[in-house]
Amino acid sequence: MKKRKVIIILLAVIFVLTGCGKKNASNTSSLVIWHDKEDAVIEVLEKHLKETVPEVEVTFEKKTGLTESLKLVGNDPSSAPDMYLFAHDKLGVYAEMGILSPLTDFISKEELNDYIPLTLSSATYKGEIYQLPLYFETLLFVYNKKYMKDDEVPKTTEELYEYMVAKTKYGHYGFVEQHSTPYYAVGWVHAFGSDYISPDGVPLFDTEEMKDALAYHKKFVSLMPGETEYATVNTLFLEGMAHTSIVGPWFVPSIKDKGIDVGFAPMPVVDETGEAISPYCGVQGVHVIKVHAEEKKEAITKVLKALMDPEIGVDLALSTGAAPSRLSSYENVDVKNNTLVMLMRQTAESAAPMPNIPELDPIFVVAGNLLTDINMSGMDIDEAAEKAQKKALELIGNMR
Amino acid sequence: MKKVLVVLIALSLALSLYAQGAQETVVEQKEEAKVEDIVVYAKVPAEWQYATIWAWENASGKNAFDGVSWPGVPMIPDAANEGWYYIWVPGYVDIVIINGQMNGNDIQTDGIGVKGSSWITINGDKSANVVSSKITSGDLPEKESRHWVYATVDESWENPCVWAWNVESGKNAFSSWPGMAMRPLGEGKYSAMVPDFCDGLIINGNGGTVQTVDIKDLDPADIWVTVDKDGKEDISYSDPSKKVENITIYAKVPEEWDEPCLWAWSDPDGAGAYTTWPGAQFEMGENGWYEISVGGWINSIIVNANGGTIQTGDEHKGNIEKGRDLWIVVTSPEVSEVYYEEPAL
Repeated sequence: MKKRKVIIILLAVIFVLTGCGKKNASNTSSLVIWHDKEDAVIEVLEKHLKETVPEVEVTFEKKTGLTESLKLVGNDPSSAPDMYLFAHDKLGVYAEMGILSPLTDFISKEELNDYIPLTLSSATYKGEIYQLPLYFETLLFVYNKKYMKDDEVPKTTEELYEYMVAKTKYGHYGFVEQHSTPYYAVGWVHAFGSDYISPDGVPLFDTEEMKDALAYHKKFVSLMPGETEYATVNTLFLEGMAHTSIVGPWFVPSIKDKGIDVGFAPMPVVDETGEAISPYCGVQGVHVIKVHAEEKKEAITKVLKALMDPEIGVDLALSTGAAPSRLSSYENVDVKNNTLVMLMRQTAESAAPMPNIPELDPIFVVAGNLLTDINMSGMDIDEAAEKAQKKALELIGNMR
Repeated sequence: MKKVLVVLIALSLALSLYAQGAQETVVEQKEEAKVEDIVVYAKVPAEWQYATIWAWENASGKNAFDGVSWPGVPMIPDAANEGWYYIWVPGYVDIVIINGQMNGNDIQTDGIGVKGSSWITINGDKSANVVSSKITSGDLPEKESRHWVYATVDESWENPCVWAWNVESGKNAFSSWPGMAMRPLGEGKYSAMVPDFCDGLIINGNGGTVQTVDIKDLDPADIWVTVDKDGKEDISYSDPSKKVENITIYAKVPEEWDEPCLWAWSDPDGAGAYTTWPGAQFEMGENGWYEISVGGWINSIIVNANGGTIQTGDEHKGNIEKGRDLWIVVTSPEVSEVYYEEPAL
């Protein structure tokens, strides 16, 4: 009986020591990368990594609620991933939390000379680079060629408005967008020379430029569906119920799968300001979580260097329509000839990089409420802007 | 003798290779030909009110018309050849059924074999004569894309027709008023197809003596027109009888799950009901059930709580029945059951 007890205790000790049940044990040649990307992106990365660093076992885990999960477990050695693939805009939050390792712990700055400057500046927070950029993206103006001919594409927002007035009827829409979602609406705000927040973290909701932008935008919103959710807007375009829209490149495969003859065009210029609708540019890339960085440095370095292969940028561009972060990826003829990718590069380079400061989180919550108050609840713009500014200052104050 | 044998073998090989090559060429040509559309003409008895075609490839059963159910699509009257109707179909089609109505009753041929473009004459006894050489006059009509026009009319409107044209150019779709006869679908509903170049239409009845106003500046898309007895129309680009209603999702969650939320989407296209995690919060309803209303198009759900830090897994991804209210009982992040009727707990 004693022997049996000893065996059970030994087995329990082995179980605990080997960390059974924990996905990310300290095997230094295996890495877990969290992501929220579509399958096409991950397939490209997995294929390249298997070919170039077969000695490192890389597991991509798609994570719902990735950003919130990282806040909770980013410092937990038993639960945190080794790396994550996401947009650059959260890296300020995680850098302040101290859960990220600078990229330069693994790769020298000189090795990043081939990267488009916009992508590196987006990956930088307080002087440190925290992300290896893979590709960048921005929103695009798309039109269904069945309804809108190439020569009808609006060059200005007033032309767009006229088109909307003529075509929005019987359940069809001339133009739809996620009008009350901050990420989508900010392009209109930028065209009026404003933003939700200044680079040094001051909210800008009660500026005259912001109010002008919101008032002008509302004219267009009145000709769009009340619902502003992703599904509503995208379904309208996919089902042929909307002639034009502003969408992300991740949505383009769904459009093509539907057999829609789609056209891409530069964003219309706001007549009042002479500036084009200018959405945020997001840089997607991999970040290293600090908790395993030291013990797995060799494997992480190998994977990062493998992910720097310009061919990955080429494959991502051709399979998903993403714009590669490395300049040399654009030497590929197929990439050069890809209208979507080149338009994205052109648009993104003139777009505003999405801020990566921690204040962006509460600012987006406030911006969402502001847009809802004005576009969907009909609140007076001055009143709504004042309320938003007050709330933003309060939330940022609490955060600091 | 050996030399003769060698020469014979060489010749035989060469011939065989040549034949194989020729065969391959034929196969290639056949495959190429299959991708070319073919035109099918049909002349139906004068008593037939419509000519509709159902077409497919016999060997595979592959249908020529995506998303279209029996009796198929209307054929187009050829203005240059009285009594003849035509349609372009994919080149793989090798069997068709022509159907219509006579004295208000459905009527159809048996399957008619076709090889490439064909001219079919339907006899009074529904038998058919098929020829592959052109027996209509003039050039073949151009292929043109079309869309459906559905009309619901008052019972006082008999034999409704659609008249369609391009507003800017004045080009008409049909040679003479009152236009194309619409096929009855039952319950006062009718259907027809018009060319995509048409952006104006009129629904009329009683031989064109009653009609709607000119309906203009239309998109080249399926359209539903409901006409009351005074001819006043109601127009929609979606079937008014098939609007997707919201569903209600009821949930019970463990006690320690605070402020439960719903995350819902359509799989595999990824269209989400909500933009930001953790989705929308349930409200407490009756009998201890949380409840929330969401678009009936979703087929995937996750229930989460405590600010999205605890959640169910992917077991309800892609397998939620669309358009039905459901009850989900969450026992733990790993265990949850979905019911389509309220379970007795």
